[in-house]
Order: sequence, then structure tokens, then C-alpha cells
Amino acid sequence: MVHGTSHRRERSAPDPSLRYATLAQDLLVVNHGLALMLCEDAAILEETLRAIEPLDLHIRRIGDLALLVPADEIEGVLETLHAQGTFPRVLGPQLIPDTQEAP
Amino acid sequence: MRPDRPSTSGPLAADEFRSLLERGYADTSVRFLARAWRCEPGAETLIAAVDDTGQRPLDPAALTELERAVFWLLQERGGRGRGENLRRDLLLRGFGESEPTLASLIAAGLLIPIPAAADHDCDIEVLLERGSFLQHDLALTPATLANLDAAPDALNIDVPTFNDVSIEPTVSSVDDLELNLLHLASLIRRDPLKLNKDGTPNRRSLARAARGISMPGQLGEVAGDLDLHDPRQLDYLTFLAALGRELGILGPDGDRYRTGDAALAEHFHAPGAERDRRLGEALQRLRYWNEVESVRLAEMTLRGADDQHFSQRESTGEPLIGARGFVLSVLRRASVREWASVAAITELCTQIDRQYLDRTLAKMAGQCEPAQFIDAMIERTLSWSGLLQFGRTDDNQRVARLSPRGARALGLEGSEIPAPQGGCLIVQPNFEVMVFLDNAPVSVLHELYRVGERRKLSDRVATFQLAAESVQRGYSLGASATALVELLNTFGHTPVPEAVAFQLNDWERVHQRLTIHRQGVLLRHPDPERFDMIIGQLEHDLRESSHRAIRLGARDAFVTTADHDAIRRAAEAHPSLTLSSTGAPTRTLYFVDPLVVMADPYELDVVTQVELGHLTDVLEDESSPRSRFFALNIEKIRARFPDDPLDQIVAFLDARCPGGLPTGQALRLQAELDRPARAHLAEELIVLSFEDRLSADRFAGLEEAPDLIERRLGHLHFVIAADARDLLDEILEETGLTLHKSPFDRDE
Repeated sequence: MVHGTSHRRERSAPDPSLRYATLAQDLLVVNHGLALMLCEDAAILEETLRAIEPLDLHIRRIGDLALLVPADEIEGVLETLHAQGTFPRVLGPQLIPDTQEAP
Repeated sequence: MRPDRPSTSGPLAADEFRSLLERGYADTSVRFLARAWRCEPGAETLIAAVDDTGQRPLDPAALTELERAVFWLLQERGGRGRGENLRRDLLLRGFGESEPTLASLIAAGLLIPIPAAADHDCDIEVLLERGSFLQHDLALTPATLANLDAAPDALNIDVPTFNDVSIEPTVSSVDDLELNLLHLASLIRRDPLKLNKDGTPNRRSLARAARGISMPGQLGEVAGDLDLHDPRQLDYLTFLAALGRELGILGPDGDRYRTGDAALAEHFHAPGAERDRRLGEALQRLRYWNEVESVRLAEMTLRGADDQHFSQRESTGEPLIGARGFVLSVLRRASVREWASVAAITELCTQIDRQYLDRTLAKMAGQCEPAQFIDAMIERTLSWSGLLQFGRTDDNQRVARLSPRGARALGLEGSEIPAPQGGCLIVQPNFEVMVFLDNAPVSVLHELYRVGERRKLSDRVATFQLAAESVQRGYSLGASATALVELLNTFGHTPVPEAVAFQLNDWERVHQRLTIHRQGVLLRHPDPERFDMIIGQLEHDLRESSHRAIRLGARDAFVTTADHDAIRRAAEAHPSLTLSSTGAPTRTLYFVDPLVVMADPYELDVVTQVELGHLTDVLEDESSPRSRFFALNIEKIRARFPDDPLDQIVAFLDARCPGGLPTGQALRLQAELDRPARAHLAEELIVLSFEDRLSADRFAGLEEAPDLIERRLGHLHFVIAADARDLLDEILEETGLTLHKSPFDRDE
């Protein structure tokens, strides 16, 4: 604490109060680069979560049936599930990693 | 305008010869023929000589064996043949090099080089000097042909014919090769082949896939006889891996060889002619296997073998690509579909354009003679691939010919192969599928490898087991119960047992309990009513496509594509925020207090959200649904980033805060995670500042400076020692320095 000054709340720029104004707009959030695991019921979801727990993934659970992970982590999920004898239905093309370095 | 030429086949008739004398041969050729035929060099005299059997009578007894062979071959072909083809066919029939004999027959006027269509100045002597007569048609005259007919002894030669040939049991066929490739790739698909540091296949990893391979000529699988310390077995497996790579069904990925289902399906479902064409090209392109070394290995133990040969990182086969292409081209041109002696085939490849082979093989490390390479290519590449078939004659002569698929691989016309008809498999109630390989299309085998485990291979019968795991694995690779049952019924000798069909459908139901969409976009909106409207429009826009929007709740939906324009339009039509969970994070974290960040949970990408859970404590009392406060927890940070907690947390936050991590927060994190930045606070200082650097330097050089100056700050400023004020005044007076009342405008 600097002598002679009061406690100062340190903030990132821009001021978060501006953010509250933005929040009032209710943005549509478009989140790219995700894979979806859609389960038939909550039991399958729990079973799936248990199966991939050791992987330390970035998983977001939505409701009782859906799990979201970054698309670049889904192949690891599939490998783990296959190794455990689970072969889910897989749709969509495999993500091709961008190996080019950013300029 | 080119003159019309009456004939381009059969013996050189008078009217064609007349035309050639007018516009084809140079005068020197006319004189050459007159000398050879011992007649006047007039056109009419020469034309008359063409049909005059008395002009150049043949003495059969004076003909050499090779001359007889040339005449025999030309008579077989109606009196005319291209020089290089005559030479090639004589080589292939075991008569050896015939170029000098052809030249001497031309010189004797018994063989007439025919000028090319565009050549109006053909000089036969020049053709002989340059040896370029091989690129011309060589024709007999009707008179010579008649003389040959009249002297059957002249054609009485011993032409080798191979009628009674027994096929060698030690060679492979293209079908066997494809089954081996399919087996190897299918097992590698499930369990990628590990490569050692030097690029050689890891033996333990290879053994898992290799037990089901059949070695060339072997009817069943190698199974218990597999010995990867046997250089021949390891060599054959290296050949398969290298060939699979060139065919695009295997590929290196770091320290593994992998395969993709799409690549396998694409290759093994391609039409047979296309697969054969690819095989021919891949054999030529083999980079990671070398037939010359392969032959040398046969006489070695593995201990003596060079590991480089087995390495899938050392392109030991690359220097041979040109030479392989040459041999394949010779076989294509010679169209070796009938049995020919192996020695003659080797001789043919060695003699035709020998200079090219010499040049190409000279680039190879290590000595390799053309004959040695050709022998290696015949005995390994062409034998193991099944492009050539090998046999033995009654008199134990080794012969070879292009197999039907080998001929097709080389693009030879008329090599259509009828597709197998009728059933090729039986599905048994115990979920075993017996496949009769001789009648099984490779596409059917590919499907069975997708959904089953091959248990056995013996006597051209393969047995696959359908099990819950294998079938569901197949479903995950794109197979479906309906298509599978249909395939088994179409190619089965009997209908699929009902219990098996039921179980295949049930396994599909189980398989579909978890569906994974590999790539897509999550849409979120805090207002359910507005979100309904947005998703309604999106579903409308996607109706013509194969993609869809899956509702995950009142405020969330997943779109099964990232590229459709409808997503872009939705983002443009509404105030929106775009996040990426695989690229650079969006800056959505705001510091509101020391080590406290605020975020709107709707605006967090998945990675940031999950990492905040690992690194912070949620301040529930201060949070609301749309603004969550997270206090960074130092112990959690240390646990999450055990190696370098400060650098990693700074990197994490720096990428996610607008304008980067505030410096004050960075100092605080440093204090918590490393050690506090140290600083000294000095009060009541005397600071002397100069207007220019030269004056400051002179001041610093004063004799009294050590007593006067406590610290120099940059170039222009000095902290004066607290007890040296009197000394300073003295110096100021002595040096004439004048003190300004206010600091200088310009600083250093």
C-alpha cells in the first residue's frame, strides 16, 4: 500500500463498467472450434465422463446429455474410449491441426 | 503435303518403293541399294529388282542362326517390323543381341529401312553409321520373302516355346499382396505401428500385425512361424510397409505409422483396374525399401544386416526409382504375356538402353551392376507384388510372364479381368464369417476387416469373427447395420442367420447411445425468446444442407458445421461475440481487485472456463449470473502449473485480459509465486540535473566527485550525498555552474 493513498482497485482496461453496458445488449456468443458429445441419457453421460476423466480435458457440461470439448481434444477422447471398448458414432471430418506458425 | 504411300505393312512392294524413291530416299540411298543389289542405280531398275527373285538368291547354308531368327520373325510378321521391336523380341526369345546382325542384313540389301513419313531425305548409310535404323520399320522385299518361302530350311530354327510350364509355388499374386496390405493396414489402424528412433519398425509392435501376414507363396498366415529376427521375414514386412506408404494407405506420424479409414476405404473400394494402376506406380516409387539390399539380405543373418534398409526414415529406395521405371517400361513395351525365359527377360532389360541404366545406377551408394539390379527387381519387386508369374518348364528352365493383373498394372490393353461372380462367404450362427478368397472382392474383405477380427487364414479361406466390440468399432468407422447385413446377404452363399442380423442391429443401437460431432459451433444467448428466433432462422437456413442445429437447452445450441454462411449471417444480424476454443482466446477477463477477475460466463470459451475452475475460487457472494468474480488461488496455481507457475499464469492471463495482464497484477503474482520485487525508497534527496551530457560527464570527472556524488541516474542526473551540500556549493562556485529554477524541458 502506497503511503498517503487510499486502497486502489486495479482494473484491466477498458473499465469493466463498460462491460456492464455491453452485457445489457445480450450478445449472441458464437463459440468456434468445439466438439459435441451427445449422450442418449444421463447414465451414458456419467459413464463417458468417468471414462475420460484421466485425460485432463477442457470439458463443459450442458444439461444431462451434452458435453463440449475443444475440437483439438476430441481425438484423444476417441482413443481413450476405443481403448476401453466403447465405439461411439462419430460424425464430421477430423480436425486438421494448423501447423503453420502465425506470422 | 506428304506423298501418299501405298503400303505401310507387309513386304516392300514395288508401288510403295516407287513412291519412296520419289520422295523418301536420298540419292545416296539409291546408290547404296544399287550397290547392294548389284544393279544399275536407276529407279526403274531398282523397282524391277524388288520382285526379282533371281536378283538376290538366298543360300540357307550361309545364314547364321541369328540371321535365320531375324528372317523367321519377319516372316511371322508378314515381312516388316520396327527395328527396336525385332531386337527386343529376339532378346526375349533368348537369341541375344541382334543389332549387328540387323545392320549386316541392311548392308547386304536384304533388309530395307523404310523412311519415316516426314523424312524426304533418308540416307541408309547414315542410319547404319548412327545405329538409328532401329527406330525405323525394316522390310523384306517380296523377292526375298518368296526366296524364304522357297527355302524352308532357311527358317528352320530352334525357337523356344514354353507350353508345359508348372507355376512356381514360392511367388505371390497381386491378390495375396492386397490381402497382406489390407491386413497390415487394418491392424495398424487399430494399433499404430511404433517406429524406433532410427525409423525401423518396433519389433514387438510389428509382431502384432505381422502374425496374420502370409509370406510369398505361402497359402496360410505365418502365425507361429513369425520370426522377426529372420531378415527375410522382416524384409518382406518392410516391403509391405513401404509399399503401403506409397499407396497412401499408411503414413508416418511422429514415431508411429498410422492409417486412416478414409484412405483405406478409398483405396480398397476403387475399381480393380485403378488399384492395379496405382500398384504399378507405387512399386516404381518405392522410397523406403530397396530390392538390391533385399537380395543381399538373403545371404545374411539379421545381425549382419544394415538397419538402414529397414528404416522408414531412410529413403534407400529412392535412387532406384528411375531404374525401376525403366524396367517396367521395357516389360510394358515387350508385353511379356507369354512365358519367356527369365534369363532372356534379364538380357532384354540389360541390353535395351544400357547407358541409361548405367547412369541411373551410378547414383546409387554402393556398387550395383545393371544385371544385378534387374535380377533383384525381378526376384523381389515383381515377384513379391505378383506382377510377374514364374514357372518351370519340363527341362527345368525358369520362365516368367506378366500376370493378368500385372499386365493391367502396366496399362497394357486387352487386360480386362472379369469380376468374380457369385457368393464368396458364409455367415454362421456363431458370428463367424468364412470367406473364400479366390472369389472375394477386396472391397468385401475391407468391410469385414472394419467390423470383424480375422481369426484364421488357411488354404484360401479366411475366417472373421464378428464381436460386439469389433462391430461397434466398424460402426464408428462409418459402417452401418443395414449396409452390413445387405453386404453379407449379397455375397453370402446363404442368408444371414436371423439371430446374427438382430444382434448387428442391436449393436448399432448401443453404438448410437453416444454420438460425437467432431467439429462445430456452440451458439449461446442469455435471452431464450430471442435465442428461439435466432435458431429458428438458422434452422431455416440450414434446411438444404446436411448440417443441423442441435438444441442443448433454452440458451444453447450446437451447429454441426463451422463453415456454413448461415452462422456468419446470424452473427452479423445480432450483436455478437465470437470465441474460439482452439485458436487464440478472446480477452474476456477483467481484473477488478488485486488477484480478482470478473467475467460473464456466457462469454467464456471452454478452455478459459475450465482453467478458471482449476486456478481460482469463485466469489459467490459478490457474483451474479452474468458477472462472476474469481479470486486467483496461489496454491491452486502452483498445483496446476507445477513446473513454472509464474510464467504460465502470466501467459494464461496476459492472453485473456484486454490490453494484457495489468502490470500491477503481474507484480503481485510475482510476489506471491516467486519473490516480491525489491525497491528502495529514498527521501529528501538532492538531485543535480544537467542540461547536456558533456557537462554532466565533466562534472562526473571532477576530482571531488567520489565525495560528492552518491549515485548517477542516467546520463544527466546525479544524486548528491546528503552530507556534501557544502562541498557542492563550493564546486558550483568554483566551476561557475548556474542553477536553473525549474527542471530542463528536454530530458535524456
